[in-house]
Amino acid sequence: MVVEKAPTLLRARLCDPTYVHAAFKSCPQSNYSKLKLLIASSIADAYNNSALLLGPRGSGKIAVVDLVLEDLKAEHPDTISVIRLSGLLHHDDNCAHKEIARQLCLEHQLQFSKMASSDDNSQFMIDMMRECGLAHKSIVFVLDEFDLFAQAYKGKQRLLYSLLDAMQTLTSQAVVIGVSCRLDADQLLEKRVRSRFSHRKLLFVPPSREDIKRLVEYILYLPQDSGLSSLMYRFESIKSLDGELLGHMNILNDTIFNRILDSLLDVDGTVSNLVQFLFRAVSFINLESGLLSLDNFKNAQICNQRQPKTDSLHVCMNKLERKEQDLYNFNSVMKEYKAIHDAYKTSDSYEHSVCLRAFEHLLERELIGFGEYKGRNLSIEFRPVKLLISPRELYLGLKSNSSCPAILQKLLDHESFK
Amino acid sequence: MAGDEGTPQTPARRVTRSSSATPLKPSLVSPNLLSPPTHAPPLESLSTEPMSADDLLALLPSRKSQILEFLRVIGPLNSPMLPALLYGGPSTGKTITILHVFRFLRRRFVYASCRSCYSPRILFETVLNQLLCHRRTRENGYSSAKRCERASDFVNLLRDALIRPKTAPGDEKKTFCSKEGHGDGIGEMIYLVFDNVELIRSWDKGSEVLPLLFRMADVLKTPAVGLIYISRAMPDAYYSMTGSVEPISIYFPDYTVDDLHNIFMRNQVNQKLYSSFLSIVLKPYSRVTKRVDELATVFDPLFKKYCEPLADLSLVPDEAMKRKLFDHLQPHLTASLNEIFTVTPWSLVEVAKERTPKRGHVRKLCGKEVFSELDIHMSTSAKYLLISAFLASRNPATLDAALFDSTGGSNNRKRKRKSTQTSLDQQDDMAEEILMKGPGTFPLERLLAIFQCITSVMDCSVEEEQFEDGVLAEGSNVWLMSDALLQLSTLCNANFICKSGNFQLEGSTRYRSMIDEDMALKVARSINFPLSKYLYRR
Repeated sequence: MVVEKAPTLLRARLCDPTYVHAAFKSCPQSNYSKLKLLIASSIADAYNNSALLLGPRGSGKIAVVDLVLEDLKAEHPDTISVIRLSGLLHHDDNCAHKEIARQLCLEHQLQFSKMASSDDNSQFMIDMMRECGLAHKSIVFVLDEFDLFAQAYKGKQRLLYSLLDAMQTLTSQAVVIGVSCRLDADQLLEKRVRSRFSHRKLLFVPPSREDIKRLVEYILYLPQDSGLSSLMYRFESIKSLDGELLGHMNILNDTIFNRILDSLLDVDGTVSNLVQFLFRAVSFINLESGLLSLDNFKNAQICNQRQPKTDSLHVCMNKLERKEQDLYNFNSVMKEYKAIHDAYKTSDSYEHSVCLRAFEHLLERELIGFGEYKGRNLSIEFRPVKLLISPRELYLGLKSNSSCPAILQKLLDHESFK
Repeated sequence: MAGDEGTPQTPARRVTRSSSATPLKPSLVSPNLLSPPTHAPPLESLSTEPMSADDLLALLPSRKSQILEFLRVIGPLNSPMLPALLYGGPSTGKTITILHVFRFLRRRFVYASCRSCYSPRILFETVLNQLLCHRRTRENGYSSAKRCERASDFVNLLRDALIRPKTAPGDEKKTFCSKEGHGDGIGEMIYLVFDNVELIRSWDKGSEVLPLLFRMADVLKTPAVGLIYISRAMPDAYYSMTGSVEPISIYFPDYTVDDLHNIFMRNQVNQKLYSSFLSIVLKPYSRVTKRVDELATVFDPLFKKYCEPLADLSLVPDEAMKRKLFDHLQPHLTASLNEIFTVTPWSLVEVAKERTPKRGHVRKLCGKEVFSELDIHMSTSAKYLLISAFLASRNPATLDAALFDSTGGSNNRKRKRKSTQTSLDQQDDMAEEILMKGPGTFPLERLLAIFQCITSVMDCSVEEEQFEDGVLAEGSNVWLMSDALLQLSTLCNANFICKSGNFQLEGSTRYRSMIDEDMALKVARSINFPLSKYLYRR
């Protein structure tokens, strides 16, 4: 059935960041165009260049780089080779040189020897750069997580220096593109590295509301001629009470949808957050009719919220915190606990060891945490702890927990009024 | 774990007499005592028989909404997915749900738990072994398919292993894959399941591995991979300073009381009997804890106690019988509620069984009685040392001269003065301070001084007794200083005494005793030492 292919197609689109960000390709002011211009001119005019792409996580920086490189490879076949390094994996210099050598060998169909030392690898890289420069081929270095390269290994940025230095001294044609989510990534560079780096920066900002709408349309729109049974999302039949078909509704213009979208984007306006939300909505697709309806989006929004958890030991800790004690530990919490039970004569009074277990559970769930590092040698009962959730979350958690005794609620309310 | 590269340790070659004797014991006891009857079948029996949707929902009774949500995220066959994070408290069924869902879907997956793969290298190699269908056997010397220590190597090898065509591996490899439930998969997607990812934070290189793991989808750039993480910690725990890409999170809430009831009722032979048992015990115990594993360990012995009066375990109890059974169980309930949920060690259970016929009435449940005795074997000098450490931590140093003079200190008790209001306040403050600060520290010299005092006193009393018995004293002056220092290092390793490195001004290290009063009393009782005379009570 063709309808079943629709969710798969939509999911494939959503999981592929290059597809998502290709929506903005045509716009002349977009980062895509600027980057393309930069690299294309450095290829055409045969000079070295460097640039930094900065922006929050999930804004599509690597996706744009991939798109640009893909297009340029199509336009100028055989003149570009791409080396990709990641700060997560290759921040160690030896690792990085080995990886560069390996990728260069792969690109140019040479034999890569695993036994080569780091010096050999770096020498090989320099030789290759010279050769490619003489042959008028460009090498593009894409350095992901650029800030991790800058912070690596006692701050000696050997890899960056060797790359940029090679670019300056040799007859090479190389472009270094650094990608980072720290906006001050260039401040992390050493003086000698920074002087060799051109300070071109491309900032990736979260898109505006209109752009977001266009993006949603672009992703979810399945044209009629692709053989699928109906246009997705556009039409949701509204039936009147008599069962007549009143008309069709464009979800994008619906206020509820806009409100949902607004609340989502207020928290985190990046494209990846939107993509995740759409993914969840797509997962709710009604397989028979193949239509995305408003309910799907509502359900997706509900999934995003999280649940707090709580315990009666928590309330005691909250009381202690209200009393403005900076430090408290398990024993003082126990004292409060006993005091409460003596005062209210509840049936929940447990012994020391059981409470200690409950305390350990709370630690495990990370609802409380150890306060300072000083008391590390003490046993668990004496180390100072702090409450890690806010009183508001505690209150919500108590409310949602149906089997919670009323005493705790009362105690918490009393505290909040003091 | 820093230096340990994960090579399998050869077991210790020493075989003492006691260990050769123990294999007899477990055969005497019924196997039911150890295995909890309520859990789903263990991992080894996950065969590749096809499973229907109803079976899946029946196996995991209270997880229907989570299963559906998870199935929605995985999506139809051959459709890519964004990474997913399943989180929830311990013992909420996350791992078992995933494994059953994959058995139902019959898709190819790789499972690695960060609890058993405790270093990056072991984690990487485990994943690669499963992908390449390589088994560590004696023939290849228990080595992995590829040696992989660094993350960069791992990513390259992983990419190769995922992209390679899915041609059928050799026959034995294929059976291995299908036996583990991995290779019989349909479809082209491979799912990598990482369990217990919250433990990575405490690894040596954890701060590098964790962001890599969560960004694996971007780093790999292979669409045919689905990444699933299982964690006990909330997603907030994985936020890093430089921002992080959040996976889709699915929350596994704790079980409610009804869920617990359904879980425990499964696999029971006599449903009516067990349900009447549950109706008594479930409510009070679930107020203490909702974890299935802890409740299972508690309910086992209780159920045995419950069924004691019944001659025939398969009959259905009527009201009168229920009443009788309830009365029989009642006294044990309150005592048992106040215990921590641990499995009692074998030796204690055996000893308890011998003892119970002797007692006229059953005061408490078997575990508690036996705990009033010390269940650790220590040498006498170690016990004395431990008590000296405890006293040194508890008492302020100024009292030592008074307590430990040549007569053994038992004559000079602190006389009770009339307490005025200010002194009462002072006492309250000091009591609060003890609660907050914990046991005090003491230098080594003070410990050894107290140790010598105590042992010389006990020496005298022991000699007196033995002189009366006419038996020769057994080396009463044998506690040399060097022996005490050796014992001290043993106690430090066992965490009874710990070094506190804070007060280096005086140039010597200080120690702190870590045992609580109950344990000190037990130790003192075992060597007939009057501990209470020496304790400074405010």
